Amino acid sequence: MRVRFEQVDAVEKEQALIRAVEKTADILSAMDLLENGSGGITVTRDRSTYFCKLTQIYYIESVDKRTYVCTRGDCYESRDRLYELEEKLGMYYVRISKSMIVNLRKIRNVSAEPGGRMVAELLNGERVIISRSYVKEIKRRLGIQ
Amino acid sequence: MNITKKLFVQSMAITTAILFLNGINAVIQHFAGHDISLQWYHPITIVLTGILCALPTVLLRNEDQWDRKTFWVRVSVHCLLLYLIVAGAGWLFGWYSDPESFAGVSITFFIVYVFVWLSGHWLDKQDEKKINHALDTIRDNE
Repeated sequence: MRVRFEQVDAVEKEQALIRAVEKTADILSAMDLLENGSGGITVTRDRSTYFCKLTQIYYIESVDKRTYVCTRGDCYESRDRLYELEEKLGMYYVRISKSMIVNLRKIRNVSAEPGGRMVAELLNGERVIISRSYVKEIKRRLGIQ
Repeated sequence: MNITKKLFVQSMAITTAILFLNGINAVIQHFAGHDISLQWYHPITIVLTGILCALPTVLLRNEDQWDRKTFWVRVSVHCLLLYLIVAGAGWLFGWYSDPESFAGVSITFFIVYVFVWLSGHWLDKQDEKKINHALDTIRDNE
């Protein structure tokens, strides 16, 4: 496959377009790498340390000054504060309230409630609240005008 | 949006809405053969009422953290406070002279209040559709 690089002057303008006959495992890996980065974060649980891939994260929540990283079925603790993690994560990890960041790729659907807030149902069935003031940023990340 | 900015925006929106409704009412009255005339102090009292009506918005701060019951209780209190302000301002500034015009102001108030909430919710539903459509294209397969 030919690969072409074109420089742009702003992060918002960055995008990758892959033209291929089908979505092979290699292409899915490349898409995953481009969208989420190669990284993960170090988390702890029961005094054990784990490496959590970014793609496994459903949401990250701050409760009583502690930061919890939640995957499909588990929750781990992180030493980083929410705002520190926000900088490390990819474009699909977005703040939805003062105390929570969610992975947009793990949202099954959202529904608007009276008053302007939204409820997001995640792929594991959990429901989280999207504050009214963060809806605009979610739309921006999803490329909605 | 900080509270000062929110209060200012609300004041302007409410003032505009009252002026708009008065404009519509004046047109209807004119074609019904009952021309109305404003006193010199009417425009400024409308602006003052707009500012007063924005104050109960403080009640709706941090609405994201409430449960459904708290939300509806606060909205009901908010609606009642606004109505008391409008009714009080109308009495103080002489917007109505008889029970019939008072009833007209009251009915108009509740229609506008419900309309504002419904139109806001309709806009939120449009956002919901757009977001769900965009999420369909990026969702992980699990």
